[in-house]
Amino acid sequence: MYSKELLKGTISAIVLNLLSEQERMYGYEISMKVKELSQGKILLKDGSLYPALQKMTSDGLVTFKEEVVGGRVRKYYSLTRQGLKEKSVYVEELRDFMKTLNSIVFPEISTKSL
Amino acid sequence: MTLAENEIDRIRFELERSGVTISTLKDDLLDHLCCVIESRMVTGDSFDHSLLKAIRDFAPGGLADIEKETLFLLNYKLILMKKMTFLSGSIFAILTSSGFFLKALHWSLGDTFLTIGIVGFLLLFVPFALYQYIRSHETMMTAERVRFLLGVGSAIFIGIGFVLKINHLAGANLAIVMGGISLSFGFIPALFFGLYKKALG
Repeated sequence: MYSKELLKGTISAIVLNLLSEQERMYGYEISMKVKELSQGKILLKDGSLYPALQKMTSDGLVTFKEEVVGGRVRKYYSLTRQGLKEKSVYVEELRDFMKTLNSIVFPEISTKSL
Repeated sequence: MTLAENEIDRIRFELERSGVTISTLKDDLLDHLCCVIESRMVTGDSFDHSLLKAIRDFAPGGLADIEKETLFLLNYKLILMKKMTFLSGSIFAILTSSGFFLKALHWSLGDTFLTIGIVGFLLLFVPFALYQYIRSHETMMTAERVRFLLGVGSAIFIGIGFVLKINHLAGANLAIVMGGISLSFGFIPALFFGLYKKALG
């Protein structure tokens, strides 16, 4: 499992990317999907997912619709038009960051991949 | 497997007891914990144990930490601006008061300290403080808004006039006169009228 510090800053890109592939998702569904795709290596614990969702909602990147499911309110998140645009920026920035990180920490890998 | 109403109420109670107050966040956390508990109970775990385990796994530092993190993310810029406001305010106030004493004692650097202090106060502290005040008083009445702007305007004119005066530059008297008029016939009457109305109310 990756540390919280490593995941910080990547959650928004992960969520935006997932929401661009699915029409709408609720919080628990997002965390389960991330766990599944990462083969259990990324667990969105420590409450990192929900603060990020609140921030993305406040920034207008995602919006939500409330539905009552099983006696409680469930919020289904979806991308806004702005979120769809920003998604590419976030993902591109993350790709560039990973490339830079590779060249610093694992120069042998980046040389091979070139 | 769906949780009973009293079990959902119990989780809601735990959230409220932990200090989660933002309602939209509370809805998210409630649904998340319900989902986790339901999936655990399917495997035969009891509700109480599932609840305990779900909270411990989800928020080892306590559920209130999630709210703190949310508030930090939502108000990051405001927190940064508040830090800048108090930092710039204290630095320039210290410079101004030091400059005042140096000048009173006819020691060197008095004029420089006063100039930097006042200009910095007017250019950095006042805009930051003004922005925050207006943001936190969005429902401010028009009369209050006018009084506030008159006070800030007077302080800016007098400050500029004072800086021009100590540096023997042109326009000092004009700025001081304008600030004086705005202070004496605008801000002070508006302030006392407001206080009078408040006392009556």
